Amino acid sequence: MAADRPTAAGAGPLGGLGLGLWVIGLIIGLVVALEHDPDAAAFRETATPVTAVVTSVDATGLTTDASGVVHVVPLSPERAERFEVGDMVRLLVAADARLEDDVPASPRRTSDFAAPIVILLLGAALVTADPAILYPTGPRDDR
Amino acid sequence: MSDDVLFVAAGSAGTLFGLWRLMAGRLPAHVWSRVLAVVGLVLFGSLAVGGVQSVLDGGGFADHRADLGAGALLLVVMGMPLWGFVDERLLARVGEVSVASVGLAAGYQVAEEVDRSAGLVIATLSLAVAWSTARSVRGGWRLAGYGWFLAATVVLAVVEADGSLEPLTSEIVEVEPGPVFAGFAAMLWLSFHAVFATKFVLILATCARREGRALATRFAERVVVRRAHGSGAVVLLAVEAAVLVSDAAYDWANNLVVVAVVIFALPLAEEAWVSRPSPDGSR
Repeated sequence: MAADRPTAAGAGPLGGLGLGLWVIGLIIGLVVALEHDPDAAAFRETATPVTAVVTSVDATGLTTDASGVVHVVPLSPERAERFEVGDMVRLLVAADARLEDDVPASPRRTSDFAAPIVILLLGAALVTADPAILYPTGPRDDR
Repeated sequence: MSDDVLFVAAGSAGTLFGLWRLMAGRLPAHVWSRVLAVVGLVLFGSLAVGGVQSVLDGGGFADHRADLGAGALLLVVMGMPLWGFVDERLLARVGEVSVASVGLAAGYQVAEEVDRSAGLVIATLSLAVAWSTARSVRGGWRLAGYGWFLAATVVLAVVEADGSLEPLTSEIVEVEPGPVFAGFAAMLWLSFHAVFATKFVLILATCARREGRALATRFAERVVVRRAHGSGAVVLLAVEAAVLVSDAAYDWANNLVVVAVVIFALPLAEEAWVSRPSPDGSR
């Protein structure tokens, strides 16, 4: 029975490389997903942050005034209640306005998923060529 | 006791319980008992260090003294599931009841937290997949059954994480130790299988070739087991469905507690019932 058990010993370097690429692709994909914010990416490219003063706060968000220009920043009630009238905030303003600290440090576009997808596909192809790497301990008997 | 300390203590206890459910019966007793002892020492030791610091400082157990314990808790909750990527010994061996139970729980959580219709669809499809898994002897269908089980755990883990970690992300939630315990216990078990799901995608991909298909089929035959006790399974699923539907209708308990009861307590009760020796000594 032990003789027909597939184990990592039967796996070649291709499988290991593929599994490594798969893990790297997953990590990069996770980071891109966590920072996925196409609107913010557009803001970053088109808008310069402006400093503004909060003029009103309600459950729907903040209203600010920057050099006579009024902006409405939609926020969740929990987040909005952290601000008070008179607070200084920094805004990113393009078609709409957002608080700068609400934008990911490196906002990602949907097209940024291309790189991790290519890495994942390459990893999957290599593992498919050498699938024994997926069964490092081999099938075991039920305990 | 401050809210932070209560949260970390309940979460640590829940994590240990989830770890015990994950390992007991799959690893030798002397192995899993040592792992539990070490993880317990790390979790509660970190919490105790905060207490000792408070005593040395001459003050009470302030909230920030739980920070070290919270860090250790998050480290365990995020680190332990990675075990699933390299060691498949801890994977649940599922039968039709497991597939249906986790699917029903996922449907219930989605119905409660996201969308009622989507939850109903998930629950109904889970019962159908469980029925197919029970009747099928072919490796492909078994693999599909295990895939559905993993998909349901991923859905459940994502929805559960939001509720379990709510006290960390909201300043207005009062900590209730019961739901925190239940949430962390389920989260560890669910996230372990959710991490393995990323490897399962590769297992499915390797089915494109005959060699990969043969390995995947043997894997499916090992992790998908058929349960012989049909009447027990029907009773268990009926009780689970009654618990979930009645809570959805009357909201008599916290969602995290209800899910933990369905995926831990009821299957444990069934296991104890089924494995109870009969009066003549047979099982």
